Amino acid sequence: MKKTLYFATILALVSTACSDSILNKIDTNPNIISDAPLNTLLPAAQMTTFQRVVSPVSILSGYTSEHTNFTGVNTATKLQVGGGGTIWNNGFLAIRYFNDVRDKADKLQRPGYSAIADIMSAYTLSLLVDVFGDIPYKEASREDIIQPNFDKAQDLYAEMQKLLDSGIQKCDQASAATSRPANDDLVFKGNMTLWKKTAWALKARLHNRLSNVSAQESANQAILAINNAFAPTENFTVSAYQSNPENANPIANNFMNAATIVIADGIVTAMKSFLEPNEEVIADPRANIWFTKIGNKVVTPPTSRGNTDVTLNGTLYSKPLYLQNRPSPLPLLTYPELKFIEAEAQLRLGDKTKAYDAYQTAVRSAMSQAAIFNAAATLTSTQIDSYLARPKVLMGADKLTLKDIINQKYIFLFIFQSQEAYNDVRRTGLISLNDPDGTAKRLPYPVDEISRNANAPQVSDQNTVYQDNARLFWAKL
Amino acid sequence: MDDFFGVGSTFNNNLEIAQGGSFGNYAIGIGRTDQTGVIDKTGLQRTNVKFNGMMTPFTKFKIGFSLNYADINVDDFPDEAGNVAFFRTVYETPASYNLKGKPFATATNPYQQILFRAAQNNPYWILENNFRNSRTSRTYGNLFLEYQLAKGLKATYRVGLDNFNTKLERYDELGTGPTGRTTPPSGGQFVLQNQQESQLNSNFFLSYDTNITPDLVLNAIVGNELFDIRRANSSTNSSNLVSGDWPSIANGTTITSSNSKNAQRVVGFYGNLNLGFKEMLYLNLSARKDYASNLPSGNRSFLYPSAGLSFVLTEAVPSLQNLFTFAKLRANYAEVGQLGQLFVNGVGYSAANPGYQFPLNGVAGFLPSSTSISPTLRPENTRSVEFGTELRFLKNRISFDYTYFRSLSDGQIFGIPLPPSTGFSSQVNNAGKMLSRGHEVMVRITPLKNPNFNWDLNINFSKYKTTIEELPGGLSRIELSNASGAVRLVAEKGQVYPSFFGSTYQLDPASGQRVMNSTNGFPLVNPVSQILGTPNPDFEFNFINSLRYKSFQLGFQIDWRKGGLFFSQLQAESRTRGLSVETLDRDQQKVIPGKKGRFVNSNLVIEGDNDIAIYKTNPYWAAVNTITAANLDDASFVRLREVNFSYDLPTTVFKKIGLSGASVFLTGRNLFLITKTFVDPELNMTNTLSGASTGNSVGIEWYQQPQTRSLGGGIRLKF
Repeated sequence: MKKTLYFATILALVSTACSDSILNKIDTNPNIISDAPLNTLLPAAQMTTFQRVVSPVSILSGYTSEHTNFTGVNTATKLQVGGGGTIWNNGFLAIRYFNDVRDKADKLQRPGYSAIADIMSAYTLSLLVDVFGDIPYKEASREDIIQPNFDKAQDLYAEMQKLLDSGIQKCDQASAATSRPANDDLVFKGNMTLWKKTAWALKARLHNRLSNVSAQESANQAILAINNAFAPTENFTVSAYQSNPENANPIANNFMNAATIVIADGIVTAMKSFLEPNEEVIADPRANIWFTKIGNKVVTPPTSRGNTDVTLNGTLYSKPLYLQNRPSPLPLLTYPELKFIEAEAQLRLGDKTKAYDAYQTAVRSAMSQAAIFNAAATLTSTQIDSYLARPKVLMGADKLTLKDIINQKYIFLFIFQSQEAYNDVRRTGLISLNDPDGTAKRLPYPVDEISRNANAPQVSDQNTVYQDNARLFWAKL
Repeated sequence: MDDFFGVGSTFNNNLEIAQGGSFGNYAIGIGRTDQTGVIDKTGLQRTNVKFNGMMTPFTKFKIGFSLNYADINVDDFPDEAGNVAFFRTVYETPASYNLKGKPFATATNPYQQILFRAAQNNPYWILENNFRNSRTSRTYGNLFLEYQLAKGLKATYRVGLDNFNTKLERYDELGTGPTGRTTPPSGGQFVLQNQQESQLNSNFFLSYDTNITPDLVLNAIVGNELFDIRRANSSTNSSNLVSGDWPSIANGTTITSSNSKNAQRVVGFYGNLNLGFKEMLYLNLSARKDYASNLPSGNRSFLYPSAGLSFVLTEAVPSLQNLFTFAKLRANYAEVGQLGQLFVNGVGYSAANPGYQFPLNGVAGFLPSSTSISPTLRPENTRSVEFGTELRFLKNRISFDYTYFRSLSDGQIFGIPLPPSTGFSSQVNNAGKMLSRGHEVMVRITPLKNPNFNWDLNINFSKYKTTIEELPGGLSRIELSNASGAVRLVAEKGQVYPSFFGSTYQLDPASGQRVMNSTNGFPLVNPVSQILGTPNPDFEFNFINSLRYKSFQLGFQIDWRKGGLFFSQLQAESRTRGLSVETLDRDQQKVIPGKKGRFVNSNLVIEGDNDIAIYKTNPYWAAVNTITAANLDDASFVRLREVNFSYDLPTTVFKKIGLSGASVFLTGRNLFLITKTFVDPELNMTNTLSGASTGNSVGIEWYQQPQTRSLGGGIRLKF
């Protein structure tokens, strides 16, 4: 009897030790929560785009647009363009996060969050499409499809406009304070008017990108969008940065840790094109606050063939000073860019007066924004005025060419916005470049994607993207 | 390099006292190990005490108890992976330049390093300023009860506990890259981690032994086992230090903390039956059913049986003893179930750091997990069949063992890396079918045997092949590891597991020759990545000799491995930096034999024989290193693995001083190696790349610390 009792006790203990409910409890991961509120998801998703997508796109585009040159090991840009894996991986993560924000916001009827998800998705998608060309989107960022199909870049341009239209509509629905974010929106702190203007500004940029596809239509649509976008003091800019490396402007932080970026010939040539033939680049007042000097001069490496120089101020070559400031705001789409787009669009439509008006405003506002990266850097109004008085800068409505607009815009975009300069380089072919390997038409697909996705184009390495058939549908170069 | 790595040493001291008697028996022991590493300031100290005892309080009942305590202190180096590895400068400084003895910090600021190469820490400065220390206290032991229920029937219960705590402190001094810059010194970090783990293992079984008939012996066991493991981890990281030389949390300007916990339980029920007939025929049958916490609810139990039969030929047909001393044939069938990783029931959101530290100013950042877990997850099952013989000839002077095995593993649970475009990094799923088969041969020969001289020779041979038969969900390839994009290991349907995957030289389809880029004369890369071979060898041999002449004994082992490939990142770096012997011809202009050509819109255009003279300097090697195949070499080797020599002192000597035996010995390991690879091809046969990635990374070297050659000696005294 006693023995039977012992056995029964043991058996009872043993069978409860492996019951489904006890094992479920043991397998519940205590390190995660099953659901997270929107006000924690949105800021983390936004920062995924800014820190992990914008930053590497901008740095790589610096080399491909010849704003800058890499001077770590292997200085050839051709050897750097294969490094787009971070952009790709985080771009699709960010899109997945914004899909999540949108789904939750729609369920909770909070259109403000949903609007930002749409606009940020479109922005992130545009970064990916413009550097990679055809990419997965319709089947991407979903748990149920493990080998997504690739979509044509041209179709994705239509998709981005749709997302922006939807975002604009939702901005109007977000009138109640509870329907939109506050401090958890790290860009505009829940100001839906500015998000709406950002959507219009992005629409303008994307319409104008199709200047080679449909000259008239792209110009008309761009001007229409600009009319709904930013006022002179408004910009799509991230200002949430601090001086500690963990919360720093990512591009500046990268430079402060490695300092592998130097000034390249492209920016110097563009600046010089507005100066007199006997003048050094330093005559452009921006050169003084943007570049370090080696023995009072701005020195650039032979493009793509420099030596290693990873000192902060440069021992061989001049370094970009704007990268030495970790708290620096990160501009993503600003008023001067819209004015440059307007000038270009008006010129395309044949209205030289309107084009010149917009160009003047663009250059003036670009000059006034030239020192935003650091409180210590300033341009006085005298310096700005004397630059604008140069005959090659403000040449008169009749003499204004597309090349002038694109060159001034290219100079303006030097501060943290090389990604847009790289787009202009390829779209217009008007920037003077001298990389002996030529210009990359796009970035190669990362091998992680090719080796894991049977639906990805299997041919891709850094050489293939220098060939003509790698050109994007909107590009000339 | 020789100056940086020094000579390590190990001292072991152990004392053990054991006694037995009518009360039972016990043993107590105390041990101490002091070890210093080949790198200055590294080492290990271990102290342990133990008690072991067994009592028989009354007949039919036995109790046993054992308890061990160990205190382990380890000082080593918090090395970083890949490009910021602290020791890269050691490997990548030209042999003509000796860093040792040169100043490693500026005269005015001890935290401002003098670097040999920008962005690579000075290893001597690291040795002086940085440290990692871990201290573990571990207690483990078990309780044992045995009760004789009836004749041949026993109940046994054993419960074991293993509990350890580790405190880890890591300090990266102000001015350590990549936590900050060294000019002027910034960054630095102090990391404090506590890890706690407890394991419980409980095992209860009934066993029954009987002779059914005088010729038929039966042994049966039924039992239950429970295994439960709990871990808890907490970590505090204090970075961007205010001041140098102050390893304290208070020193940092950015302080972050995290903690994690995990748990797993497996409960199993098992039975085993052995039948033996006349020492001639043996049958074994077993079955086990496990319930595991880390499988989806409703799908968490699995059963696996096994069966084995062996037949001693020389017992059944005694006339065969003219030919064989002993001959046995055996066959086995077994299934084994296996589990995957922890926590499969639910994914969720966790605190995120997307390159921006949250929480900040009251805003927290959470993101969903990047791992997807398949809802159809089931336990892995491996079915294997084995056939073997054991033959002995000439009064055991020659013996021969042969085994053939074939095993099919179905649905291995694996974190399948997903295309990044899915927005997920991996999916935990059952990963297809994998077939493994191979041969193992063991030959033991005693060529010489007489009272003064004896020679034993053991030869082991193994050869196996593993191929991928099937992959899940329409996948054609699963990536197993990725060494910073330079080389990958993959499982591809129809291919050997694992296979190297990467880029290779572009060949001219007409002549089969390599094609050089017609714009610069460097090798052209084939734009389509492909399978490049496997790290697995064709076969392996071990030759183990032991010779004895009177009181002298000599033993040595030679290993021969044929085939397989090995990827060396150190070779790639030494090429681009002009440090390897291959780069000595860099001042001579050369034309690389082959064709020249280029790609025009993805079509290869051959433009005749290559006639472009180039210098093989950095740009050439940089171009070569984009080709994975360029750093994959034949991993065959012959190695003198071990030599040992000993001498037994004559009894006349030690009897006088009260000893019952004494000997002196010398041992040596890794004394020589013949191979074609740039570094020791066994350097990374482990499962993790040095931080570059995780997973299976066999055959890939990524800045590992070298294997050591060791020499030792000692005296053995018996009282």
